[in-house]
Amino acid sequence: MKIKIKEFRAKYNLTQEDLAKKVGVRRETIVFLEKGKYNPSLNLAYKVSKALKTTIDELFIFED
Amino acid sequence: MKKEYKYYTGIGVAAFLVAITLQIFWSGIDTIWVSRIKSFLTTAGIVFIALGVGRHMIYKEKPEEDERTKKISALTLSYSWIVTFVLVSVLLLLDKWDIFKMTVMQALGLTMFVMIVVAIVAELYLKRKGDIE
Repeated sequence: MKIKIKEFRAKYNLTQEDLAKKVGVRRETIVFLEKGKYNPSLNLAYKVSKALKTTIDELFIFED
Repeated sequence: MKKEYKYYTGIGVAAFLVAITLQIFWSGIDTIWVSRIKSFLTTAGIVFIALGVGRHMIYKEKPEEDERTKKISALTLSYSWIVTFVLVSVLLLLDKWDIFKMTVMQALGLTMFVMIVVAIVAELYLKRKGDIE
């Protein structure tokens, strides 16, 4: 799975801390999300995509 | 300061005030029970103030937990419970076979110690991992 949170974060000039605050999680969770080490719930994936003004399938790209 | 921390600090201050009031007005009839109540209220006051102020200093307005840490906490408690269960079973068998005898206080102390240590170690280990399956 390719995760593009970092790219979108850079686009909107947001730090991990800012994004964590917007989404209501701890910064470490955003770190693990960006590294692809944590599989978020649908609810969290939706909140992150909403905070980054995009869609879930643009943020989390599944590769066969 | 978050509402929860304010409540903790408020309870702590209230306990302290009651302890001080007891000290001032009940100083003439200082029975063992009044003394115990004063000690209890003072300790409770310190603990609650430390919880309120300490947690505010560590977390400020950040969330204390989220879905990842909740999952980790749940697994940590499971590990702690299983290890404690095994320990208590082993202690029971050792006692039954007259290999190793312990007093009730020793067994309870050891059980609590193992339970807390396993929980702390498991949480530290799991928090370094991104996800738990």
